[in-house]
Amino acid sequence: MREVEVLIVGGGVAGTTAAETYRAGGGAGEVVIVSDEAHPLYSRVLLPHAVKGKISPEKVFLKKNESYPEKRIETLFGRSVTHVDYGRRVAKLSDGEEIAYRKLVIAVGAKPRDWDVPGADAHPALRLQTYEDAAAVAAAVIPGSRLAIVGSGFIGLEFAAIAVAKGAKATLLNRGPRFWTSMFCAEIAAVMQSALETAGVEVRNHAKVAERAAAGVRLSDGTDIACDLVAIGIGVEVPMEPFGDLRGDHGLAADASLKAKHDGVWIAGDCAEFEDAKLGGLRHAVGNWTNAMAQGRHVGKALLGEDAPYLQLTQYTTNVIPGANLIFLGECRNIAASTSDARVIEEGKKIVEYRVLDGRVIGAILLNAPELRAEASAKISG
Amino acid sequence: MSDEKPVPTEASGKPLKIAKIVIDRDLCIGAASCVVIAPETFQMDDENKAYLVALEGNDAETIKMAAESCPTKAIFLYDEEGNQVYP
Repeated sequence: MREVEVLIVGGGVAGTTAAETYRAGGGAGEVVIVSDEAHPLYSRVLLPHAVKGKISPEKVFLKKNESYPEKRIETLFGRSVTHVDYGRRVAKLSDGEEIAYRKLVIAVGAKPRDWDVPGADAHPALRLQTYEDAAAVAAAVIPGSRLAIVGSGFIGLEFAAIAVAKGAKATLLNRGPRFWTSMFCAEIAAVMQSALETAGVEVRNHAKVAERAAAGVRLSDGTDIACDLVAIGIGVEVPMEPFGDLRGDHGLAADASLKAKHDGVWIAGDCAEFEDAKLGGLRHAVGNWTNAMAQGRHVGKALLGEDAPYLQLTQYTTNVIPGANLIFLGECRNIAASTSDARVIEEGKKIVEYRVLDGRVIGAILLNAPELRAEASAKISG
Repeated sequence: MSDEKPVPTEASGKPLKIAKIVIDRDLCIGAASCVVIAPETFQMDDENKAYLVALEGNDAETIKMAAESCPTKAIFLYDEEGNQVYP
């Protein structure tokens, strides 16, 4: 059986950054990245830009195939890990090969949730996670297309912006009574809906899809939404099955240093459910580019022997809908026992919503208030 | 720039020196990954766009790593001859 110094499961920004940080810091051992995608690292953040035709599709790539051997990083593309024996330190791959490791980094990210309404299997729907997904969306959405978007999260907003950019007619189907009930106060939700409507997107709240048919979708209240295309953005889940007893509530369990409970194992990126030392030890999973990159970097240093808590305030931003520039700092979700402290700075436009847990600020949403980023970050860290 | 220590790049073995950094504000989405890696070089401004604090804020390899971490490839690096080093 082959044995390597560092085995990295996942070829996204977390896994790739871990490998490069290890190498850049003088790590000399053999490094192997296993990735279920068939491509070198690309930016998922750039996929909507490519779909809209703002950049050519090949511009989404951040690495070339030859970037890896230049840094003595081996890649096994198109393969995944199906089981890990932590005692023997052996990972089993989808093609049956077993690889023994001294150190293991799990950075598998998260996968889009299955859409399992009746009829979904019979009719193709658009997704937006992979390079192939983006190519399919670019080809399918044309001027005049009628697009039903299922889900109002980050991907739903991206689909809405794509429809607007391409001259398609979009109907956004939001399950809740208003936008993002798990995160937004009513004031921010109202601005988001109004920004979408101003951009030309039809928004339907309380819209649960009961059935998919050739002519469109049927909602649970019997309403038929006629459309040519259905786009799905209903969230992601971490593939936990291969990783046995590391399964947590929202991801694979890691401590404040991103170490798993088994020796020589670290977890980084969207798949990590970690103890966030920056937020008073709150356990959560975070899915965004900057967090994945920063955690990959942290684990890369851990592979070199550094042992320190991960101390980066998670932050993300979206501004694809005109009039709705959103910055998210820390944990913004309406988690158990937390409360919201919303401050309207400018009616219907500029709002800051703090998330508070046990008297401590753990998150902030800034709507059209980027100038308050430093102040809000300091409140969370302080 | 005279006291900046040149760092060899892995690919070429030649020392990397960055003489110019350009941030494309249209491409920048404010993800702030550059600030995470090279905070002495990049910070976010009041419009949630990255700006250049100081050219010599971090060493060349760190600046290159920061540019490479940008999810929209909004950071352009040039060497002393004016050649684009990244992207």
